[in-house]
Amino acid sequence: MDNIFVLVIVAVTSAITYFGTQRKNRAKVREAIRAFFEYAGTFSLFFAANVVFGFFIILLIRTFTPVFVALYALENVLLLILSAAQAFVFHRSWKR
Amino acid sequence: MIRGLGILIIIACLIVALTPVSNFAGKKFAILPDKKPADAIVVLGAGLMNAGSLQDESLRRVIAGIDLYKQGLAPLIVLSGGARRDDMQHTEAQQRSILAQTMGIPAEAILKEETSNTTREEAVRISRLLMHRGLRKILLVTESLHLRRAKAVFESAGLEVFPATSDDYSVSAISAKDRLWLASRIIEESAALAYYRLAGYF
Repeated sequence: MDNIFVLVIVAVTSAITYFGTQRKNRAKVREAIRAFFEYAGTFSLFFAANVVFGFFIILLIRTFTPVFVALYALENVLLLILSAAQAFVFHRSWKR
Repeated sequence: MIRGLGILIIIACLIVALTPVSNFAGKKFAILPDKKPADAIVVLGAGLMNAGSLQDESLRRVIAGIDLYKQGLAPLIVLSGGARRDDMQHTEAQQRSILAQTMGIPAEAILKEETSNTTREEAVRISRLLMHRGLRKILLVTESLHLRRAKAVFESAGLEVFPATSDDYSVSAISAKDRLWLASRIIEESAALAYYRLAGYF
């Protein structure tokens, strides 16, 4: 029920903004939605690459040094935020 | 192609957040509790915050262990958990032991394992500790999703394991945030299980 409430709020504010947007600019909204999906795809690729790379680095550290690094280090929320930043920067640079 | 992947990811996130799909998957993945009288209760580590505060998950597990002891299911409780690298003064096992004693468990009924970093290390060291005392049957207390892997390595270390979960996340996760978290835990534990199998730990 809470989830539906949130979805309704977002749908209503999006509809108001969309219909409040000048007709000639509405095509840009559709273009922005496509860019958003591309951004989401880029983000998921960077996040997956960072997790896999991090996994191998941790295994190397564990194998060749006496230092123990927990795999849970990859659960750090910073990895999500920085992957999002990476995706934003590279997605923009590829588009220009 | 990247746009297609993005659409797929967004749809997958919405399905996971808005439907009980992760709850069903969690129920399949989790191991059901089978609480029986045993020689010892083993409470696995879940981490410390700074200044010796127990993480929520650690607290949940130790309270489940204390509850089993109070039910008279075993005469001994093994509390596991080491120190943080940036705070060597406190160990998780020590902090849990203080809590257990505050809640009425005698000090002589508590064993601490403060050196393990991983589930496998816990299995190897705790099984050695218990077998040395002639104890073989344990009630293993951990998170329901972690139990599959933990049970396998403890059995591989030679102990007879009765699972005792400290939660029921598959039922309790109903908000979008909790369902997404549950899905990420299932993925994480599946990967860890595959890694343990490949490494030959069980």
